[in-house]
Amino acid sequence: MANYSSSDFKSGLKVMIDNEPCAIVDVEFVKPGKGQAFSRVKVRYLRTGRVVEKTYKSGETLEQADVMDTDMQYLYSDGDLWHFMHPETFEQVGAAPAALGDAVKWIKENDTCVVTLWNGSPILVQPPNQVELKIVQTDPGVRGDTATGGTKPATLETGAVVKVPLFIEEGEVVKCDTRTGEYISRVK
Amino acid sequence: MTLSLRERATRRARFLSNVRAFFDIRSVLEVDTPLLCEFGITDPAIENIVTTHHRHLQTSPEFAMKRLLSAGIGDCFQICKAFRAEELGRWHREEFTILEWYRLGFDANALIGECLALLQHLSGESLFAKTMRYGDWICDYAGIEDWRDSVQVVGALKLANIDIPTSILNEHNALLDLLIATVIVPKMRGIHVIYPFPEDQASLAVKTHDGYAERFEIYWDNVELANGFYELTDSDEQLARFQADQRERSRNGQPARDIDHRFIESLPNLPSCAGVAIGLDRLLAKISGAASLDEHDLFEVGTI
Repeated sequence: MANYSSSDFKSGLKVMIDNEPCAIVDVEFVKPGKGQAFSRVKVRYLRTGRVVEKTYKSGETLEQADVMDTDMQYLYSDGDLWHFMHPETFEQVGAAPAALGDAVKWIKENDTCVVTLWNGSPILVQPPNQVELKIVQTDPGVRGDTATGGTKPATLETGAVVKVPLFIEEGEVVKCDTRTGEYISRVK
Repeated sequence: MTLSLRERATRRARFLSNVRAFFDIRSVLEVDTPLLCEFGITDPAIENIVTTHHRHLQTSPEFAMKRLLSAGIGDCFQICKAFRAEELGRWHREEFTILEWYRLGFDANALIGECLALLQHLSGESLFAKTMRYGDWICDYAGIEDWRDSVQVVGALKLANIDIPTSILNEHNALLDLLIATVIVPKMRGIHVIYPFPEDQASLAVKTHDGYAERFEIYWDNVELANGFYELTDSDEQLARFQADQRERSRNGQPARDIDHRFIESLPNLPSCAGVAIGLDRLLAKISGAASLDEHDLFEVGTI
């Protein structure tokens, strides 16, 4: 893999830091008068999502990380791995639970997810930003109480629990935002 | 506040003509020296842009202007482009507009006074400047006792959660530079004059006998605007400093830079004078309250 010199650093670049694949989030060039120049870089560790600030002396390099974001279709889970397929090459990969994190609570078969591959292996799975899922359990609604904006918990078919308005019934399909974990609307 | 292209260009043109007016009433002559020259700069903190036939775009017009001074031109100023490779950020551009001027018979204090008069003239405000010695500046703003003690500098960086590259742990001046850039400068408000500087950062300034050098810098809030010297005229000492730069470049694995022998040869004829360079893009930005250089760029970075 190629090396990036500090002057090439920019947000979006995927690099290796401490043997971990990272994404550069922000770069600031600082240099006092006739002094040493530094790049102050904010990076996100792709596996853990942790964001840290690093300092590099001008001219220092980082190795490019072989990281690719690919849209893939979720096929099934065998209990150990979650299997995804590339829609054009039909190539399949199996992702470990750690790569899915909270995504397991949101995805169902045939959903298209963004799978981050590092050296060909999946390290991160992001569910679609919005999903439509059926409610499998919620307490009966209280009619006529829609104006107060009251909510109640509802369990979705994939396992996520979201707060829904009181008038939503078990068996209905709702649209949710997976990034915030919030209910958006009822799907008729 | 977003200015139209025409407004940005107009503001810049008026600003530049105000700078010229300031020097005109003081009878300081405008000069226009070559920017593409045989020699570059040995300073390890600055990199030339090198063109075909190994010629160097100048990082400041200093050597050429001093040769004019040695040849007897008298008080002079210049507004021109300067080029520094791989400097790009909120307050840095690889190509920027520099104002540089030299005053015969001035010492550092007299030139600091004239710099502040220029800032006042251009901003139309009365400005209060706080003068601090380099060591006091570091210690006061970083909350340490001894700026020459690497352990204390590292401690102040760690306290501020600044990641320190392992490559500089044994380089005291680089640690100080990181401390200045990340801890000290972000806290500065108003006009600061840092003077004098420690002698190992003398650059082209005369050293005093107490471990300091006749060099100053002026900051406006968190932005360094000016760097000035009471100028060294001792050609042997200047040559020795350039040779020390070359050794450091070689140790760091930086590109080698030949010494401008014509500049060295001219130095014994340089009259006693003080000189200073100001980044005009930064000054214009600060006068108009801009948060970065972007607001006055006529062309967006990355589109040039």
